[in-house]
Amino acid sequence: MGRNEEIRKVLEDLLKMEDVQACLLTGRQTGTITPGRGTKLKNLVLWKLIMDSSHKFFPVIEDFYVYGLKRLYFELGDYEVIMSFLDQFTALIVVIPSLVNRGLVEVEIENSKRTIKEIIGRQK
Amino acid sequence: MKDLKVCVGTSRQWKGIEVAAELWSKIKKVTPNPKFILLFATIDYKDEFKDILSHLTLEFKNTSLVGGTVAGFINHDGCYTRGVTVLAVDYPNMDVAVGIGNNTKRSPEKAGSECSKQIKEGLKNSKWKNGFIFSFIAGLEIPKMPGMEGGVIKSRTVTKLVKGGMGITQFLMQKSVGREEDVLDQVTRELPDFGMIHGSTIDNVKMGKNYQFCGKEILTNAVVCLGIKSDLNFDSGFGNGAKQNIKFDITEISKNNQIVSKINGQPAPSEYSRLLKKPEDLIFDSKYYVKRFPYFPCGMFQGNKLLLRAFGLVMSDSMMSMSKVHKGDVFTVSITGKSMIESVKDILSPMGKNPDFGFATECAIRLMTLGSDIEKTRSNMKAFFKEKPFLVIYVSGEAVKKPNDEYFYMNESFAMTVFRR
Repeated sequence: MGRNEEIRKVLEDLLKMEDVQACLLTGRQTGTITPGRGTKLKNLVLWKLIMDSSHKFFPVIEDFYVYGLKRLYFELGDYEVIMSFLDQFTALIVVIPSLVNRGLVEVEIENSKRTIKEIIGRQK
Repeated sequence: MKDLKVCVGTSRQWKGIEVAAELWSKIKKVTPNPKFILLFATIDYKDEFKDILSHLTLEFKNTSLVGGTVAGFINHDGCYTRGVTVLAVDYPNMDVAVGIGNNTKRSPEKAGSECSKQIKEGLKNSKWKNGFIFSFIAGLEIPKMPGMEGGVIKSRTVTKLVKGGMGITQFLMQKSVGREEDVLDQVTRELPDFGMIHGSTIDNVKMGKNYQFCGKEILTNAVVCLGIKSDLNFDSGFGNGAKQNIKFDITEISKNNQIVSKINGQPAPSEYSRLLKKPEDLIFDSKYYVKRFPYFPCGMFQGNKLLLRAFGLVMSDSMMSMSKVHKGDVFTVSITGKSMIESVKDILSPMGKNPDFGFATECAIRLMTLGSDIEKTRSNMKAFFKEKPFLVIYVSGEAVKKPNDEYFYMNESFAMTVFRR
């Protein structure tokens, strides 16, 4: 199994969580990787917008990363978007409903990040 | 010194049969013939419970197995809110018995009594003197009704419907508050000389449906207890990291001591927000309440111990506590993420050195609040247990008891038992 396939499997596991509506990995080295089954979001235009525009955050992220930036949260209508950084060039992006408590999801985001880091580390 | 073998294992496979195979191989490696297995799964595995339990019980025919659903767990492997974990113990100087009681939400006293009788009977010929119970009881399940999203009901009509409906659903569908204390009153009355640690089963904190396990049986609205008698010593403790602030009086409360209607003679929600010095609209905002309510529990004393009660549901004229609010002085409390983490250290520090293994039940509200920072709890546990096994499960209510002492039932807390030879 190639690196991207392994990462895709991790994202698929994350997407199986009830509250996770969508997730993707985006980064300079990895490009954008999405789970095989895509998204649970019904608004596909929004999903495409998130996929297409997430890399635009990186110039700002790079500036703040040296000061310890770990995560960015923003509310987007009925959803909350969590950007969690593996390094200043790579982010795991997860979309959850805005009404849910994010604590449980965050635990698995960290586990996914750790596994993805291992996968990327093995390939270097 | 007799050989005590303890295995704490994790599986993150998705298929029940693969979970069972992975756990079987981990258990078999460390504890070939365990006397008991505690098994906990997150609700993601609902459709796999049957396969997991039937395969494991088939492989460990002479082993008692109990457990249930949890919101997450911590052990040496990591912190998880999706997965299955086991704690298996093999020790020659130990007898084990299992008790089950059904219909805990409809007839909690009867369920507790039936369960404890089975344990008493099962252990009556044991020559070992130290008795201990692992207790798991069906926790709160909130019936789905329109207008209840976010844990805040502003409409008076919906409030009336919910209050009336709760009584009906409690009896007919057994969907309502857990009544764990009514069950535990019976269990501890009939087994006074046993120590105990308890966790109320829960799903992914949606409070939809939770399950209890006993052997290959998948139960709902049940109490399952594992009683042991052995020469193992145990030490229990608990804490929450909260500090008491302003004292207030609960002047009107429901018969079950959980729905608070009046505080200081005033409607509960507005008076509580006044005491907290926060605008009512801000803390009872339906969009944010589910994220904020962990910071606003009330506290009450049992002896010199401050016990917390979280208000999981706020209605137009009242607030529902997740467990019973005792009579006497009640306080607003302050609690932070940092104090929650520090409290684990405080609980562990008087526990002494050289533990053989540990088991803890921690409130899922703390998991919701701390999120991935529960890794700090894991670090504290690892520092205390070193290479020895431990398991922390996230539940909807927790309790501990020392032998011949009263039990403490809590929310938003961390309860711990350390076992040693």
